[in-house]
Amino acid sequence: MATNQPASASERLALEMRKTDRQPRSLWSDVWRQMRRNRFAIGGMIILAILIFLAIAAPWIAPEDPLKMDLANAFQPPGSGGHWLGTDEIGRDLLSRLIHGARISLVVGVIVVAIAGSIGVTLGAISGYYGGVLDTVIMRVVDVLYAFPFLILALAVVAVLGPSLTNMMLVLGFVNWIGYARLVRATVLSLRESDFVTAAHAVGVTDYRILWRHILPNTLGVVIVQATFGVAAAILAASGLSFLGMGAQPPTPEWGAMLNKGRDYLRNQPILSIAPGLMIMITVLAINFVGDAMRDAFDPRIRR
Amino acid sequence: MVRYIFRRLLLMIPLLLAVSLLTFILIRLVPGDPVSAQFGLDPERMDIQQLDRIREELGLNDPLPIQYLRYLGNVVRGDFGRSLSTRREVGPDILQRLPATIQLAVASMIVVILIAIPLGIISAHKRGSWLDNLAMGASLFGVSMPNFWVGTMLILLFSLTLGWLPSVAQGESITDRLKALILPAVTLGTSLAGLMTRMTRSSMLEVLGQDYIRTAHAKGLKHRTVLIRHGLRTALIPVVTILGVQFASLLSGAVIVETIFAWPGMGRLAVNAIWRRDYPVIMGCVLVFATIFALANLIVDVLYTFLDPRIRYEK
Repeated sequence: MATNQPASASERLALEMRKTDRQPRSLWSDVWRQMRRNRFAIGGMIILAILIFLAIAAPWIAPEDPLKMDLANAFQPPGSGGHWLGTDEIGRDLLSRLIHGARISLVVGVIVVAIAGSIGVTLGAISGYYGGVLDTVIMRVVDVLYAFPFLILALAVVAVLGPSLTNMMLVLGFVNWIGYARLVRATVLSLRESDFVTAAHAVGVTDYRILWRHILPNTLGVVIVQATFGVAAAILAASGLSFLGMGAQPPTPEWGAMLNKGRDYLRNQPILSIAPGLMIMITVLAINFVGDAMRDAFDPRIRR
Repeated sequence: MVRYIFRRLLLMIPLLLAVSLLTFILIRLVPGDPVSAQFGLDPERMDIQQLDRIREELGLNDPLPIQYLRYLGNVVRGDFGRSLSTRREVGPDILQRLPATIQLAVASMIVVILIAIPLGIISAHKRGSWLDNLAMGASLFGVSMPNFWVGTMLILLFSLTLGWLPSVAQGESITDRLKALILPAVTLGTSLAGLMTRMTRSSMLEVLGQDYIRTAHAKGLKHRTVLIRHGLRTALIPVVTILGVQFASLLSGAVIVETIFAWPGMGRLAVNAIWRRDYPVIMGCVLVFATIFALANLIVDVLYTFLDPRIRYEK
């Protein structure tokens, strides 16, 4: 007698599932699998890892103090006197300043996105889920901010607050939330009508809990993609403001500010302008590679 | 259509009111005294009475709501007030600078269209080829380069090293002016060109997957005809939208590009005003920029109906 024959349907199903060698996969492992196949994404991640390492280890790996002046050795050409990339107009080591610059740019990018993201996600979620007057008010504010020439607004506010790195981060954070608000609102609006939300309502889950525990986790994918591009955009904007003198102040080794100073010596010491911009580009490019791959990985339509 | 445009123009009024109110509050609530900034003096060392007289003269002693309403009343009549630093009227100053900025923005828009649309079409058509990969790589570079760096590098290469093009406008003849326009326009357009190439490609790819394209091929139409007449026309609709929205962002980017190339436009006017806390000029610039933003959006929406007959705004 075949005693090992499963009796109930559910047992048979369990047995059937064990036979297939495919393990259940979470969204995250799925995204990771997708991204691993993308050469650009891998390249971007490696570059980013190097930059993050430079940022963290800057004080130990930079050959010199980025602020140390040495007027006798100003404008050293690259490779001379132990300065791999030469020195600037007051004899500071360019390579050391570039390495320390990674710190500033990455931190600025992340902080700006953290501020903008938390404001935007919260307001967008409230707006999309509760609707009504709150929705109208928030969306009108978004419309008005959208009509603002963004850079002029940021410039004006930083100028009145006083140009500094902190003020610039705050302003960029408070200006950039609208994108997240629109995105999250749209996603919440569509999720609100889905079956699992109706089911949650039916079993008596509170609105607050539905929004934060059931709906928002489902918007995480789009938010993360947006945030990744957001870091790149924030780094560009921040270096632009610093370039105009409205961000990091001298002698801070910020890439945009360094480029602005370097322009004065474009003819004789072009590397002072070339190198900082190259660093900005590499950083932004790496983040964009990762963002691109992530967007494709999160998009079920493009999945292979 | 006329009624639709009219309604949209009416809707712009509350928007601009909100923008002006926000700017006004922002600028006035933050510490920093325009009078002392104007004279570059320590207010404590100036004669208090003299200082007060200047403030009174400029209307800076009145309550804020009164100041705002007075400002608004003047703006409606086309009077943006006088610059605190140059004492010149802001309205004419902006009007005088505006053409240079528009010129720059239009020129870089042309650069963008000339690069992005052909490249996007080719990329989509030859999807997966080395050409496609190259174009996509280049476009990603385009959006990742800071425009102030692109500008500086172009000056380094074409002005300082090769000596082909001027970095600052010199001379009044048409050729001189066109030459001076090239580098700023390319600088301003680089990032947008990258973005639009990708937009055109993905829009084109979507359209080329449609049934009617297969039908057109099946009918035996020439490849080029299908691509341009059938594919591109539809694919351009979203492209035009983004292009319109981005035209406004070009104006924002002009702030930096005008600084690099010493271009006598509104961007530089705004930056200088911001440095000097010249409130009337800042407000005037923000309002004009916001108006252009809103108008650009309106134009895009109207263009839409011509490109896509399915869209009708009238009931």
